[in-house]
Amino acid sequence: MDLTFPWLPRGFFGEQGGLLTALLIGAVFGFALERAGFGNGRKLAAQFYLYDMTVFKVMFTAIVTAMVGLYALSGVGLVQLDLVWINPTYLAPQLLGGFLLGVGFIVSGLCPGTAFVSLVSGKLDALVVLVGVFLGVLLFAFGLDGLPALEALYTSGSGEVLTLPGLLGISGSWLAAGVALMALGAFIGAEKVEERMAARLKKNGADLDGSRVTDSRGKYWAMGSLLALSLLAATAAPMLEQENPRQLVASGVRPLPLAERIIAHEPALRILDLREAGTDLRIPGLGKASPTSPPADLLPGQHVVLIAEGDLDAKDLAGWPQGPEYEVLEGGAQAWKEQVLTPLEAEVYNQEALDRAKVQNEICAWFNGTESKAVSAPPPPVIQPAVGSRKKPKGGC
Amino acid sequence: MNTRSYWNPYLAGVLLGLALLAAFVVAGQGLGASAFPKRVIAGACDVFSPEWTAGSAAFGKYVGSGNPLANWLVVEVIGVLIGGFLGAVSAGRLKGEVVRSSNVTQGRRLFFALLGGVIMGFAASLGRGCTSGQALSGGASLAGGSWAFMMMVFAGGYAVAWFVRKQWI
Amino acid sequence: MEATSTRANPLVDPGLTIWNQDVAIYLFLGGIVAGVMILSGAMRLWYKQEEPSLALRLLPWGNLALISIGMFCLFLDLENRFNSWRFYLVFKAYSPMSWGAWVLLLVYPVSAHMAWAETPAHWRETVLRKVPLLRPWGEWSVRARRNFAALSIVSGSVLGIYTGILLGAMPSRPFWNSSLLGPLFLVSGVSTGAAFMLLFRLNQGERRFLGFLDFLLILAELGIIALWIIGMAAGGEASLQALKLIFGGPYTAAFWSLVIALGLVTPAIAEFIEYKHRAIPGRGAALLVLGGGFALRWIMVYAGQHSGWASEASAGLF
Repeated sequence: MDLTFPWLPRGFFGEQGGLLTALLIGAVFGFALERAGFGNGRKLAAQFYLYDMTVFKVMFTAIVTAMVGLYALSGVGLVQLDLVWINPTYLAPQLLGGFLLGVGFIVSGLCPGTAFVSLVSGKLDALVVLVGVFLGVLLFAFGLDGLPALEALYTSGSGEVLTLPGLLGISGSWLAAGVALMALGAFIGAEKVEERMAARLKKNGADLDGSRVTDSRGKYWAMGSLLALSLLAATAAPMLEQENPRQLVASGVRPLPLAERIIAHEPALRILDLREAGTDLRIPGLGKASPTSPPADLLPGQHVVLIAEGDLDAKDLAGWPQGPEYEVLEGGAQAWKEQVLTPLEAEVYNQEALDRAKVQNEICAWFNGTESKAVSAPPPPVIQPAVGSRKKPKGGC
Repeated sequence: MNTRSYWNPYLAGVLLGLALLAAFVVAGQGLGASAFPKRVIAGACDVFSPEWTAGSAAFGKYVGSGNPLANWLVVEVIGVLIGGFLGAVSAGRLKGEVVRSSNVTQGRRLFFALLGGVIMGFAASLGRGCTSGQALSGGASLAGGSWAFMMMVFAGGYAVAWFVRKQWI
Repeated sequence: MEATSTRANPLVDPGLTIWNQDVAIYLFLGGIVAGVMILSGAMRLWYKQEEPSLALRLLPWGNLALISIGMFCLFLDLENRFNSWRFYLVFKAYSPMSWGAWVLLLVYPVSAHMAWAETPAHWRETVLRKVPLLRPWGEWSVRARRNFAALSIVSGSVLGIYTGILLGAMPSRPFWNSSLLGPLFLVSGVSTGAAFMLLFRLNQGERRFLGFLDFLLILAELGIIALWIIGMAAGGEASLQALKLIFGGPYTAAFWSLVIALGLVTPAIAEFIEYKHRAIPGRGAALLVLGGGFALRWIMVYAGQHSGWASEASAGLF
C-alpha cells in the first residue's frame, strides 16, 4: 500500500474515521481565522474601505500557500490530482452568485465562514448573520422549485472541471509561481493604499477599527519561500517524469500468491488478460483488454492485475488511467501455466518440498476444476470497487 | 486578562493555507462553510416534510443517500467552531457584544446583518459555494470558475460599500 | 410496563427503537436538575466568600420548572399515560423505573423547600403577609434551610445516579450494561448543572468557583468515559460489537466530535485558560458543556438501542 495523497478518496480511515479528520483540519482553519482577526466584522468590512486590507493579505497568502503545496506535490507525483475535488465551472451562476455574495458580505460585515468564527467569539451580530444565511438557503430552495428562470440560471453552464493550468496550457507549478510573484506585488501595493486611506479617513473624522497589524516583512518571507518552492517543483517535475515515465505499475505479483488471492475472493481484485488470443488461463471472471485501449470502467481503489504473454513492459501502458492500483503478473501467462496450472511432483524424501507441492497441487486442482471440489469450489470472485465512483455534485462550499 | 493583538496577516495566511492544503491532501477536497447551513436546513426539512425535501431541486441531493449531516464539510465546520472558540478564549477576545461603528445604532446594525445574511445564503446556494468553498478553495486549486467568483465577490463588495459606509466607518 | 427487559424479549431486541428524543431530553434535564440541587446545596453549606447573588438564590425555582418539563417529557414517552400513577402503588426494590418514581417524589418537595428558603427575605415576607396561613411552614423551612441544603445534595445525587441507572436497567443493551453509567451521568449532570448556573447573573466569586469546579468535573467525566470504554473493550463479543458503534460505526463521528471534542475537551481548555489568567468565566464554555451533555445523552439513548446481544441480527444495521 503506497501512501499517495489524497487519502480519503483512496479509502483510508473508512467513512466515519474520515469524518474525524475534518475536525482537526477545521479546528486549525477556525483558529487561524480567529487569530487573523476574521471574527471581527469591522475588520473584515475595512477591506472594502481600503484602510485595512487584512482580508486580501490573509486570503491570498492562504491561496498561494495551498496552491503551491497542492501543485508541487502533484508535480512530483505525491498527490493524484484527478482524485481531488475541484470546483466545476458554471460560469453564469458563479458570476452572479459571487457578486451577490460580495454585496451580502459588505452589508452584513461577515461571510458565512467568518460568521461561525465570529459567533464563537461571542458576537451577537454573527448570530443574526447566520440566521439570515439559513433563511437565504431556504429562500433559494423555494425559488429553485418555483421559478423556472432561477432554475435555468442555476443549471446553466457545463459543470466541467476547468482549471487555469488546463485553460492556459502551462503546468500548475509555473502558474503558482507566477501567482506568488503577483501576490507579492499586490501586497506591496495594498500596504501603500491602506496607509493613505487610513490617513485620509481619519482626517475626515471616520470611526476606524484600529486593529491593523503593520508588520510588513512577513510577505517577503512567505512569498519568497513559496516562490522558491514552486520554481523548484516546476523544474523538478519534468525531470522526475523523464526518469520514470508515469509510475503506473506499482509492483509485480508472482503466480502462486495471485492464485491464493483469487481463491480467497479478495475484494476489488480485477484481472485482465492483455494477450490477443488464448483462453487457457482458467481464471474465473477474467477480463480481456488490449494494452492500447484500457477498459472504460476502471475505478480508483481497484487492484488490477495485468497478464501478458511474458513479462510486461510498463511503458506499453501509457494511455491507462491513474486511480486503480496496477500489478503485473511476473512471467505472464507462461509462468501462470507452468506454476499454477501444472501439478508438481516433489521428491519424496523432502518434507518441506512435499508440503509445498501439496499446497500447489490443491491450488492447481482448484483452477483445473479436477479434484477437491468439495473443499473449495466457491463461485468466481465478485469483482467490485473498494471505493465508489466519485459523485460530481458535492455539497458546494 | 489582556487582549492579544491579531497575528501578522501573512503568518495567519500561511497557517490557513496549510490547513487548506491538509484538506486537499487528506480529504481530497477543499474547505467550506456554506455546506453546513445547506445540509442542516435540508436535514430539518427532511424531518418535517420528507417528500418535499426529496423532491426539492436544492435539497434532494443531500437527503438522497443517508444522513445529510454525516458529511466531511459539516464536521469541518464543527472543527471551525472549536478552533475559533479556543482562539478567541486564549486571546481574551471572547466577549458578548455587537460589532459596529459608533455611527450606527445596534438595531440598524442587526437589521443589516440579517439582510446581508439572507443575501449570502441565497448567493452561496446560487454560486455553489461561498468565500471559503469557492474563492479560497477553488482559488487555491486554480479552478477557472472559482477565480471568476472571487473577482465578483470583491466587485460586489466595492460596488455597494459606499451605500452602507455608515455601518462601518 | 410488563415487558421484561432481558435478552429473550423481542420487544427489546435490536432494530426496534423504543426510546426516542423525549427520553434524551428527560435525562438531560434530570441531570441539570440534579447538578443544580447538589451545587446550590453545597454552596449554601460551604461557599462563604461573599453574599450570594440574587440569581443564585432564585435558581432553585428554575429547578422546579425544569423538573416539571422533564416529567412532561417522560409522561409523553409512557405508552399508557393514564396509568402512570400506578408507579406509586408498589415499590419494587430491584426496578429502576420504580426507584425513579420515588426519587422524583423526593426531589419535588426538597426543591420546593430549597426554593422557598433561598428566596430573599423581603419577598418571602410579602408572600407571608398576603397568605398568613403559610407562616408557620414558611418560617420553619427557613430555620431548617441548612438541613434542606444537605437533603438537596443527597436527593440530587440519587437523581443523578438514577438517570444513568435507568439506562443500565436494560441488561439486553451491551452499550448501557455498565456500572459506570450511574457515576458518568451523575458527574455529567453536575457539570451541566454548573454550566446551567453559569448562564445566569452570578457574581464574580461564584463564577470563578463554578468555572473551576466545572473544569475538574469535566476531567473526571473524561476519566470515567475512558474507564467505560476500557471496560467494554475488555468485555465479551457483544460488548466489542457495541463499542464498534463509536469506533468506526455509525455514531463514531458524532460521539468524538460533538461529545468529546466540542462538549468536553474544548470547554475544559477554555475553563483552564480562564482559571490560569484569573479571568471571569463567561457563558461560552457553559453553552458548549450544555450542548455536549445533551449530545452525550442523545447518543447514549440512540446508540444503546442500536446495540444488542444478538450481534448478528444487528449486523445489518451498521
